[in-house]
Amino acid sequence: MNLREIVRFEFVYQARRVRTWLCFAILLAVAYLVTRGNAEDAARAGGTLVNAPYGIAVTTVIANVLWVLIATAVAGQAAARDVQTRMHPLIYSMPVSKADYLGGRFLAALGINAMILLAVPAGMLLALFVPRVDSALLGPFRPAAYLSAYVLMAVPTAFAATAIQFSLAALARRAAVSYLGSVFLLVAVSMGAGIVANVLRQPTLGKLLDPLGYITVVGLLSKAWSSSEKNTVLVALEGSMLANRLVWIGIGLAVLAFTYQRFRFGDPAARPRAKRAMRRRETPIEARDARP
Amino acid sequence: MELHIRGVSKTYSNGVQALKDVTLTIPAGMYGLLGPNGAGKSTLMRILATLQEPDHGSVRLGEIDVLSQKDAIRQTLGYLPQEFGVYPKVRAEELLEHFAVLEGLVDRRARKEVVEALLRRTNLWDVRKQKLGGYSGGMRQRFGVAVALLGNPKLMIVDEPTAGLDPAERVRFLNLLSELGETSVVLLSTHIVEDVSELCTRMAIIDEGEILLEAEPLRAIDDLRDRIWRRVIANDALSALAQEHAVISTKLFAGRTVAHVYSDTSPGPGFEPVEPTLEDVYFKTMAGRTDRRREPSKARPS
Repeated sequence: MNLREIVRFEFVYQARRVRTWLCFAILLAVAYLVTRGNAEDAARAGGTLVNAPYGIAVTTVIANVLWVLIATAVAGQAAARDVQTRMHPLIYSMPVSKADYLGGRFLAALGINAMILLAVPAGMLLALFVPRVDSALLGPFRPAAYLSAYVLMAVPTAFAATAIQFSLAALARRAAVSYLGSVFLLVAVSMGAGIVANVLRQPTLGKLLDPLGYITVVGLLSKAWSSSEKNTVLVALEGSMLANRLVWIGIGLAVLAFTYQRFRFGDPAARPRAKRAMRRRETPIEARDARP
Repeated sequence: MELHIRGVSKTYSNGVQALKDVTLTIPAGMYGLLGPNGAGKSTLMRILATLQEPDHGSVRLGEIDVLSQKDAIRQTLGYLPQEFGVYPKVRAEELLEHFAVLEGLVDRRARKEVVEALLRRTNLWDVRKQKLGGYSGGMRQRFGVAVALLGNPKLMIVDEPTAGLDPAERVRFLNLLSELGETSVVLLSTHIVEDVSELCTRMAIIDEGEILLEAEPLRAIDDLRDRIWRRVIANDALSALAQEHAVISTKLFAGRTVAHVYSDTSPGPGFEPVEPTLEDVYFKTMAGRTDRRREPSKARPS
């Protein structure tokens, strides 16, 4: 009961924020513009279809990179808003278990992020119809292409990234610290994986480490696949892609478990007041006696 | 139900000892914990509210071990912290409903009734649709009271509650508390003597982490009868007076200094006896301490 109430309250709270819908609008616009760009290329050069499954996967991955940057505050706020608004003494003294509290806030943040990421398929579809794309450039409409990109590419990435952002903010008790997680994912891990794959020539390891699936989809498949493959084959959950998703879901779970272990319902305002106590001792009694 | 605090000590990592072997027995009713700022009141309150761990000691409410059975005590705890905030962008009624669910008021209709009753009792009913960010300090304080009263707590911890309230709000708030005090343990920490003298049937005075006095206010006042003397003096005559007599407090009145002196017999001409108040009890207790603390410094050349 508590878990459901915590998820509900947090989800509703964030769903009412302008920031949430701003993120949604930005991703919608980006997915729309990328797809329109693809349409122009396709019209000029030919070869790939505007709604090719491969194009959908690439657009999803690119939008995911952007999402990691702009939607960090969703997880950060869910984890640290209580401390930052100083409401934590009220809620920490309530009969709520740590699992319900952290789990509820995390699931709500993941839900909001999953909702924001729905802007990507929405934007891609919108681009096909507003204005209408020449039907010669379109393949058959395949819902599975959008669904697999969302479920296999976007959501597992969102799970791992939200877990890392949420945990950093919860343990640091500051929402802004979640940005470190985003920067870490994008710069250290993504670039590291790229270096491993391309410079050290360990593509298998590189693909495994890549948190967003960027290397697999944008880097390696773009060369490996022919135009007709790109037009027809869905990025499937098998081989290195399956291993990569499992690795990152595992990392996400491990980070959450660590956070559950370390988190305490303590009062971070309970800092010792050393300076004040020292000063008080030096104050003459006449001054102190003015009023109790 | 009684709250038993036994030998509770807390030293912070920088060496400040906030609580020194605090032992108190607190029965149902209103109990005042009186002391200056920085005396350790808030540390004790946070420990009782399960938000901080003492280094030593035990705390029990009836059968419940407060320090180890945190879930059990939180079921029946109301805590109004000295400082707290709220989400600015949520309506008061909505947040109170949320807290009510967390407090275990699962049934929708019963919850609605409790929330409405609390909003009316704290005089927030007319502003229940307002966002909390627009609340004044006093309104936010009353909202905190409503949250603390959810679920009829058997243990109510109230940390410096009247500091930000205007006189009318203060009276209303103290009435709410004394209603609860008819059945529950209500522990009120304050640095305002009137809060204790108006409300509490028992009290303790704390300074620098030590309990200096545990008493019933009326009896403690009675003990000082015929022992408090008052004299109006020039502002610069205080140190001379303090040399000869046990000055427990000084106050300015119409630009002149009024000194209260503790003495078993009349300290001499110029002094008149006064009816003791709880303020005199407090200052007498604190003065006994500051004298002791001063003595080593006399030996020091200055």
